[in-house]
Amino acid sequence: MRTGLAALAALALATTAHGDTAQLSMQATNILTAMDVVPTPTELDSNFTDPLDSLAELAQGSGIDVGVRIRALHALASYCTAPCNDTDTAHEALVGFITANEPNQDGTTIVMLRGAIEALGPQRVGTDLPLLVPLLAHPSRDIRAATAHALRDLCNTQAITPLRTQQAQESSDQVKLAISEALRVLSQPSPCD
Amino acid sequence: MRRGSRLRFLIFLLLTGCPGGGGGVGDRCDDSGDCETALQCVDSACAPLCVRAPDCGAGYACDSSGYCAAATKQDGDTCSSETDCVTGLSCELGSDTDAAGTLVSSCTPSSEAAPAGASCSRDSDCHNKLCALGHCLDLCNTTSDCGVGTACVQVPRVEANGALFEGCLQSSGLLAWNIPDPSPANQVSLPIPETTQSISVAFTLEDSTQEAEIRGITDPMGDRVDIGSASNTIRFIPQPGESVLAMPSSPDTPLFTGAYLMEVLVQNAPYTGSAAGDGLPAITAVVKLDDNVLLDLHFYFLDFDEFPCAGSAFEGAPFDATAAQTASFFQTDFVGSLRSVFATGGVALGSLDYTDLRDHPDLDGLDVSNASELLSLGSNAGGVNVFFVRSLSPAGLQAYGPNPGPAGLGGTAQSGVIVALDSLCYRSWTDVARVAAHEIARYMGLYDNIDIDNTVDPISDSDESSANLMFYSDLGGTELSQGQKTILRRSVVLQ
Repeated sequence: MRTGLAALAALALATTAHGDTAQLSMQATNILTAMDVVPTPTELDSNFTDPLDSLAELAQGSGIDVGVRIRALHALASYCTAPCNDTDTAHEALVGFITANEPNQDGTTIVMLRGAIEALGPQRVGTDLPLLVPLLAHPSRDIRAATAHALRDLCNTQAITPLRTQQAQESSDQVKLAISEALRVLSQPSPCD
Repeated sequence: MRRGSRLRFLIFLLLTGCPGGGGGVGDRCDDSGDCETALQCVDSACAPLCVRAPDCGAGYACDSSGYCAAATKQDGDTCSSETDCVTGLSCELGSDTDAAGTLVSSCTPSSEAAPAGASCSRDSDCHNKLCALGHCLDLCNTTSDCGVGTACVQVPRVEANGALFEGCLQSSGLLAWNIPDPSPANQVSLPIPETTQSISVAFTLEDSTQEAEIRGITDPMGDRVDIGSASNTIRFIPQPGESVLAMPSSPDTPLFTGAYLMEVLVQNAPYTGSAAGDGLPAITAVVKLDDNVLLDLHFYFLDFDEFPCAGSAFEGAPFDATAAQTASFFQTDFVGSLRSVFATGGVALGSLDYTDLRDHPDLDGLDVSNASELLSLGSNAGGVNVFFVRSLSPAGLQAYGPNPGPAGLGGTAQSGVIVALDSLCYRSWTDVARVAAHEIARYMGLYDNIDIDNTVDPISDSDESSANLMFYSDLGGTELSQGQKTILRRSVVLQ
């Protein structure tokens, strides 16, 4: 199974040749393609000179391996403390990714979009509600379920009404359960304490 | 010969036995000389030569020439095998040892309790008052004293500080038993019979927030093993709810026959040693008694309807347990690659089965914090349960599973591995096969050759190459060192 190793070499070359993207060392590439573990901020910090900017660049970079981009998107969640400021780089990178890719329907984009939505919720920026709510009606059930989870994590009770609206018309059991869970959490007196 | 003369001769034969050793099976005889060459005289009837004592019936041994030898030991006589004692008596293991350190046994009246091979939890459950490794065992001198499918092997007697006795134990397959509850921080004796290839021990706590840890282990020679050392004897990573120990850890650390002593400690979060837990772990041991290398895989499929990359990943067709059995991308690219990877390690894929899990929509896109809910649906005790989900959270995870897994146990919180198929949007089925093989190998006891935090496997010939199957990145290779192959081939999941 040499395809993986070939991809690894190609990835290093691609990122090196791509002038406006972060230079990925082999070790950094490995960390951002770990298959059964999520890299910790400590591991990221020790492998990137400027981890936040590097991750933000990787997340947006069109020439970057999708697996690396997904992990970079997820890692961004670690680079601001909830509730984050909406001008934090980590938050802006995620919002920028979602805004740019939300209309795309191809499977690869959906997988990355799911990762970005999942990372956005725990940052708990209340003003993200208008960005997330329309995604409850996304054609992909995976995006709808991820959005329900993100709204749960966002801890903005204004999400209750749109969640109930979507629940009434939702066809997927997976999404219905995600919405029920979000409503259960948001209906508590202090949902995020 | 006239008809009257022939009749008189037959009557003569019946009255006088089988002159010239011509007696067939069931013919009356006085000794084995009255029977055909391949037969012997047992209880005044010609019978086939024996292979094992049970061929002769109760109260007999089967000697090395295949002849049944009547037992002679009476009540109170010392004995060393069940076949030493006359009918109605059993050879009962005592607690005293002789000058050679061997446990002394004697013939005593057999009880109506369970026969050899039956499951038991205490000595009184067994006809000869000998319950070991969760099963009633008969004492023996040689394998010919034992029934078919069993062999005469050395077994440690936990109740006698690990002193060895020879008992009839199943000769192949997996043997599982429950170890009686220890108290927190108690010492648990782990008996290792002579023919053990490897052992897996699961520590399960009802309170899944508590964690069972092994603080130390002492081998039968009395040497204490440093759990954290590179030459450790065991593989064990404590986990809340269920922790699994696997031995041996590497080809350089042999498994000894005898009783290991484990210091087990139950802790509450944050598991730093400062908050002792009050839970009692249920401890189940499973030993592998043969060198079989067949890996059974049990595939479970969550709901893949409306999958993001169905066109490229599933060739546009619905994907479920039925489709997977015929789809070339699954059979050739995925299963074929798995077969190839494990063949490199000297392990052959055995039976494969396919099950749909479409009535668990809460687990389709799985948050790993709920992984135990899915893994507990892995009902198969043998082999490895492999669950295919749409995606895993946190995003980026492609697989999840215990290291090592509770081999030989189904339905536990860690009974299987999970593979997310959303990676098919940017990887191939062959790549997914490598991820699955890596996770299955972890379940079987291999550590990452090098982990994301630079921890390396203690196997002496394991390198840190990205070409290794156990390299932590999903872009790694499929190579295995000899030491890794040895651990794989010994895994308790193999049949």
